[in-house]
Amino acid sequence: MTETTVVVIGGGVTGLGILRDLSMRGVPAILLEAKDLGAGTSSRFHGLLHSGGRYAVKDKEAAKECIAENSILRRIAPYCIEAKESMFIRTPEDPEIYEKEWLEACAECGIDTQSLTRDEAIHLEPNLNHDIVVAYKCPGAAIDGFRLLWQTAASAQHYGGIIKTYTEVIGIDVQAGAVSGVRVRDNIMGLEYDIKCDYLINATGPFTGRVSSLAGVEVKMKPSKGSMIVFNHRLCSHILHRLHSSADADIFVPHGSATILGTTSLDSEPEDISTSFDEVKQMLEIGKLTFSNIYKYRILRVFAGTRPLYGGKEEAQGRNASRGFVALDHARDGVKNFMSVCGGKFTTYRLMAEKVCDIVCKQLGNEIACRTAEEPLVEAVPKEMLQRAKTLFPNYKVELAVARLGKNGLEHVLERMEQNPAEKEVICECENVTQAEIQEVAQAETTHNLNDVRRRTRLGMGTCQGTFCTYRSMVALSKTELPWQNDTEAVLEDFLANRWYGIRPVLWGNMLHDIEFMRAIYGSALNLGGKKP
Amino acid sequence: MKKTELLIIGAGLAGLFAACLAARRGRKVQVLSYGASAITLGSGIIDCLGYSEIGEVVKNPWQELHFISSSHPYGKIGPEMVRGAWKEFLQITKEMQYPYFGNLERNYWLPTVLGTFKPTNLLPYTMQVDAIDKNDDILLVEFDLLKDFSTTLALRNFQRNLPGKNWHTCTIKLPFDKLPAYRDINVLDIARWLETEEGRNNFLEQLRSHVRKNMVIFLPPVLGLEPDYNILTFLQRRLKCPFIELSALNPAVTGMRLDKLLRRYAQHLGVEIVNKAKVIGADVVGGLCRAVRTSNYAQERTFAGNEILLATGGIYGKGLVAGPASLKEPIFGIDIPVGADQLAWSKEALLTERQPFALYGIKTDDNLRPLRENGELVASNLRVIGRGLAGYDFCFEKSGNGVALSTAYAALANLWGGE
Amino acid sequence: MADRKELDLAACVNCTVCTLACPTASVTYKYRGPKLQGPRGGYPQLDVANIGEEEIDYCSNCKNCDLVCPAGIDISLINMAWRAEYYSIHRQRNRWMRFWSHDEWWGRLFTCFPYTYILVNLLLYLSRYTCLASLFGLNKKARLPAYAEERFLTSFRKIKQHRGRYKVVFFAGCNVNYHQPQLGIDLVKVYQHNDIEVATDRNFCCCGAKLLTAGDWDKAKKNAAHNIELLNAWVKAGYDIVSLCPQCTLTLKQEYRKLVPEAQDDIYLAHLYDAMEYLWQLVLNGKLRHDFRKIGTPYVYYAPCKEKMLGNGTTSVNLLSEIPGFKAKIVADGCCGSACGYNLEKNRYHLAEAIGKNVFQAVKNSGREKGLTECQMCRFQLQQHTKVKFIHPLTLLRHAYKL
Repeated sequence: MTETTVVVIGGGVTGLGILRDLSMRGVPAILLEAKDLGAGTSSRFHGLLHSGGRYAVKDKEAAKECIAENSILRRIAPYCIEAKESMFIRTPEDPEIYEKEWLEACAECGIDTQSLTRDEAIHLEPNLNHDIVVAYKCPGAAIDGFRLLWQTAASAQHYGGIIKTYTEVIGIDVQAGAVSGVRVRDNIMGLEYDIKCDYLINATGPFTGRVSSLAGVEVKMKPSKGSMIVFNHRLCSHILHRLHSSADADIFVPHGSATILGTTSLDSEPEDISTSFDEVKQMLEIGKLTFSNIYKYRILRVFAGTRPLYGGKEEAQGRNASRGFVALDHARDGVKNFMSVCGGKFTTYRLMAEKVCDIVCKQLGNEIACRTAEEPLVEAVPKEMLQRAKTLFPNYKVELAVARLGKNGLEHVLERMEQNPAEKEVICECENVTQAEIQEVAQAETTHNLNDVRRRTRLGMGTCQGTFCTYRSMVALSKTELPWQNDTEAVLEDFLANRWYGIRPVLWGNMLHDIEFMRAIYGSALNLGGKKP
Repeated sequence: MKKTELLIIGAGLAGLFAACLAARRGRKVQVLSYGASAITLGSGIIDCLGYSEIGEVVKNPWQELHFISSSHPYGKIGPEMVRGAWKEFLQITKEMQYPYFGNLERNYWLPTVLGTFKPTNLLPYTMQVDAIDKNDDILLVEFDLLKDFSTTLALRNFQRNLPGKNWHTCTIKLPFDKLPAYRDINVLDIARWLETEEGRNNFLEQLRSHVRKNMVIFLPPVLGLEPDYNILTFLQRRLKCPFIELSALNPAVTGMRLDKLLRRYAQHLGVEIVNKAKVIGADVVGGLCRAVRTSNYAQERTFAGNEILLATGGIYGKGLVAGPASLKEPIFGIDIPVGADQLAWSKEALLTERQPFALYGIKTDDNLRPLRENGELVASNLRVIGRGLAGYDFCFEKSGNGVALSTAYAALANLWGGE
Repeated sequence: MADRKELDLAACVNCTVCTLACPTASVTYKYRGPKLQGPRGGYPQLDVANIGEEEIDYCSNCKNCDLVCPAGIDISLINMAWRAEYYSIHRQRNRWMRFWSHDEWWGRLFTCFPYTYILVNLLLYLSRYTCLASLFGLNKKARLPAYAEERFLTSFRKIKQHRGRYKVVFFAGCNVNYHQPQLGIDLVKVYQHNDIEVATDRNFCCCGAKLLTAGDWDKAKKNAAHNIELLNAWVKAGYDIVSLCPQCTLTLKQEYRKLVPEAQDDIYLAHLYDAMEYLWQLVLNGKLRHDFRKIGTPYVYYAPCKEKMLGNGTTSVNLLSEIPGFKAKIVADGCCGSACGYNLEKNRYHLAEAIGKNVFQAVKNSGREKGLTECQMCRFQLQQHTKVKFIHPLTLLRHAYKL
C-alpha cells in the first residue's frame, strides 16, 4: 500500500513546481504523470520567458509579476535560461496609437525600453523586413522548457519528492466528503494500485476538468490550442515581438540554431496537438511582415500545445482572458482535501507553486516557509569539473551538455567516459549528444522509451530529425540491459512516428528532402515495419 | 554548337545506366552531374518489386509486373523492358568482373543490420542469401569500434524474424589508433583495412576461431571499396563459408562499388561526365529542346544533345522541388498537381503506407516524354527516367533501383529500338 | 558571413558523402572529416578556442567535398572559416604555409634582382638533401617549381601583339608570374594566333587562395576586394577574363563570393573563363584555327580536383581532340595528394603520398610517357611519383600550332 501526504497529479511545470516546493518544506509528496514529464503544454510553447513587455498594456499585474519572477528564475535556473534582448518592432500594419500606450505602460511597470531607428534595427537584425517603421529594445530571456522541468524534478527528488511517470490516475477515492487517495494504473507494467494521501492537488493543465470529474467535481476549462513553427535557422539574435496588442504569430524566439515562431489560438480538446496547414500558412503570412524572406528558410517542424485556460465564472476566451491562475479549493464543491490549479503561465510557475503550497501547507499544519526562490535548481558545475569535461568531451562546446546535465548529471557522464572511452562517441551529430549521456538517461527510472531519452538529451531534435541517431542510439544502447528496448522495431517506429507527426504539416523544401532520405533508410534499406514473407 | 547524340541530365542510377547502354551501342553520350549520386548511399542492390501497390508481399515479380497499374512506371513501359534492363545490367557487371546474380521470377530476402529482411532482386555475390535456407548456423560479425552495427541488436530481431537457426556472434577487434575526439570509425575504414594484406590476414585470424564449416556469415558491408571479389574470394577460399553483407544505413560501401563500376564502364566507352554542372534551365524552341543551361557559381554554360534524358531524380535528387502546396520540375518548369493542403501530401504512417508525396512526379506519354499539366508535350526530344516519374513509391514497394534501370532501358529502346 | 553559413547548414542532410570523398579522411583516422567540421560541427558548436591545432589543420582545401555535395554546400569554405577563426586567436605556426601563402611576396623578391633566382633555386634544390627544407617548413621529399629568371610581366611587355577580334585580360597568378612565365607566353602565342588580344594588369594581386587555406581570411578578403574591382573594370571595358590556373579560376569564382558576399552577382563572373575553356567556346562557335601539326605522342590526362569544380568537364581533352593524331587516356578519379602544395609540409607529406597513391598507379598503368594537366602543383606531384613528364595542355596546343 503506497501512502504519502500529498499526491500531485500532472508532470508539467505547475505540478513539478509544486512538488519541489512541498519537498523543500519537508512534506512527503508523490507526483503522478500519465506520460513523460512535460509531455503536455509545458514543453509546447515558445520558450519565451516573459519580461512583461507583452502584458504591459493589457494586464499590468501580470507584467509586474513577470518581471519579478524573471529575475528569480535567472538566479535559480541559470542553466535553463539564456538572456536575450527583446525587440518590439512596429510594421506599417501596426497601429501607432498602440506604440504610445505601450511605452507608457512599460514605464509604469518599470520595464526599460530603448528606442531604435529603422536603420539601427536592421543593422542589429539584418534579416528584418526593410519596411519596418520603428523598434524598441527591452530586456528578455529565452528558456529551455525541457531543461527547466527536468532540473526542477531533480531538485524535488533531491529533497525526497517522488516522481512516477507513465502512471495514470484512473480514480479518486472520496470518503465522507474528503479525498483519501487515488487509484492509478502503471501503463508500463499494466498494474493498477492505490495511493493513500492526505491531500490531492490536480495540476493537469488543460485536463483539469477531466481529472476533477473523477472526484465528481466539475471544473470548466476552455482549452485553447496554439501552434508553433520551428525554423532550422537562427533568424534573429533578439526575441522579436510585433508592437501591437497580442495577436497570432507575432513572436520569434531564437533558441540556439533554431527559431520558433508562434502562435495561434483555436478552441480545442486537450488532447489535440495537431497543426493544420491553414495555421501554418496563416503564421507564415504574418511572419512575412517581419522577415520578408521567410519562405526561404527551412522549417524543421511544427508543434502545438494547449493553453490551460480556466473557463469558469468569467467565461473568458482565448487570448483575452487574464493570464493569472486560479487555485480552486474543492471544499466548496463538497470535496475536501482537493485542489485544482489551472491557468497561469510558465514564467510564473514558481510563484504559482508558492501560493498553492502556502494554502495547502497551512491546511496540513506545516509552517515551514517557502525557499524555492532562494536555492538554485541544480548545483553549479565547479570549474575543475568543467576543465575535466573539456578534456573528455569531443571538441564541441561542452557548455551545451553541461547546461543539460547540471553538476550531478555531469559527474555521472564524466565517470562513464573515463571508465569506457567508447562512450565518448557522438551519437546525435546534429545536437552533439554523446553515448555517455544517452546511456545515463536511458537507464534512469523515469525513462521508458526512446522518446523519453530524446526529451532529456535533445537526441533527434536537430536538423536530421532522427534520420541517423534513431538507429545509432539503439545500437549504442543494445549492450545495456534495458526492459524497454526488446522490441527494437517498435521503439524505432514509435520514435520516427513522433518526429513524423510534427513534420507532416510543413512537408516541403529541405524537410521533405530529409524525409525522403529517412524513408529510404528505414523503409527501403531496413524494411522497418514491412510485412514478412 | 557542338551537340552530342545523347545528353543525360543527372548521373544517378538511371542516368549512368542509360549512359552505359547508349555507349555500348556506339552512341556519343555526355552526362551532366551535380554532386554524388544516391547510388553511393544505398546498398548497390537492384530491387524489382518487393511489395505490390497495395502492400502485399510479392513472390514472383515477373508475374506481378503483368498486373501492375498502367500509372506505375513498370506498367507504362511493360515487363519486357524490365527483362531487357536486367539482361544488360547482368552483362555489364559481368564484363566489369563484378557479376551480380538474380532472377526476375522470385524475390531474394536480404538480411539487414537491424535484424529485419528486405526483398530485392539483383545482388552481388557478397550477399549469398540463398545460403541461409541451406544452413542452420549463422555467425553475426561486429567490429568493436563501428557504431553502426551491434550483434546484440541484430540478434534480438533476427531471432524473432528467422526462427529455427543457431545463432553465434563475434566481435572483431580493429587495430586502429585509439581515437579520443577524432572521427568515429565507419565501414569505409574497415573496407580499406581489409584491402591491405595485413588487414585481411588479421581479420581472417580473428574470424577463424568462431567459424565452423558451412556457417553463414552475416557482417556489415565492409568487403572492400572496389567492384571486385578479391577480398571475398580470399576469405571464402580459406573459411569455406558463404558471406552476406547486410543491408545497412549509409555509408554503405556496396553502393559505392556499383557507382564506381558504372562510371568506369561509361568513361571507358568514351562517355564524358561533367561534374559540378547544375542544370538550371533549358531552351525549348519549336517543340524541341535545343540546349540546356548549367550554372557553376553564377557562371552559365550551355550543353546540347540531339536527344535529352531527364534523370535528375525526384525529391531527394532535387529533380523535383517542393514548396507549400506546390511541386515543380525546375529545369523545364513543369508544374505538378499536388494536394492543396500539405497534410494531404502524406499519410499518418511514415513507412507502412504508400505516401502521396512519393507518388508525385512527372506525368509522361507512353514514350516517357514529359507532359505539362494541360497535356502538352514539353519537348519531343526529351524523356524522363528514374525517380522523377510519377506513380510509384519506391520505399513502400522496394522498387527504386529497378524502376531506374528499366525506365532507362525503355527510354533508349523507345529512341533507338530494342537491342 | 554568419548568415551565409546558416543557409548552408540548412541544406545539409547528413548524407556523409563529403567525408566518404575526402582524400585526407581516407588516409588518416585523425581527421574528423569535412562534415563534422563543416555543416555538422560548424556553427555554433565547434569549440575553436579549445580545439587542437592539428585537428583544425587537416583540411587541405582540396574541394573534393564541395565536388560531391548534392546540396551544393561550400563545405571547404566553412572549414576555412573555422580555420580563420582559430588563427585569429592562435598563432599560425605552420612555417610552410606562412611561406607558401605569401609566394607573391617571395616571388617578387626573388625575381626583382638579377640572379637572385639562381641562389634561391639552388637553395630549393639543396633542401632536398639537407635540413634546409626545414627552413621553409617543407618536407625534404617535396618538389617545388623553381623561381623564374624573369617575371612574366617583364617577358610579356616584350611581346608585340596585333589587335584582335577578341580581347581578354589574363589573370596570370603567382605561378605564371614568378615560376613559369613560359606558360603565360604560351597562352599569348596561342591566343594571338586565334585573333585574340591579350592584356595583363600589373595591379592584380595574388588571388588569395593560399592565404585562405593558411587561415588568413582577412588578407584573402582584401586581395579579393582588390581584384574584384579591377576585374569588373576590365569587363566594363569590353574584356573577358582568362586564367590558366584552376586554383585561381576557382578562387575567383567560388571563394570570392564568400569572401566578399556583396560581389556575388558581380559582372566579372559571367566573363571569367579557364584558358582552355575560352578556346573551347571558340570551337563551339566554329572560330578556332585548325592549322595544327599532327601529334604523334599519346598522352595521359589527369583532371585536377579544382578543374573538376569548374563544371566544364574535360575541356582540355575536348579541345586538344581537335588536333589530328591526339590521343589521351583520362585519369579523372582521385586526388594527386598535393592539394596545391598544402600537403608538402614537413609533417603532412606522408598524407600527400598516401592520398595520391591510386592516381600515381593509374597514371603508370596508362603506359603513356607524357602527361597533361592544368594545375602546376599536380604536375610536380605526378612527375615526381610517376616519372611521366607533365605539361599544361596549352603548351601542347602551342606546339601543335608550331608557334
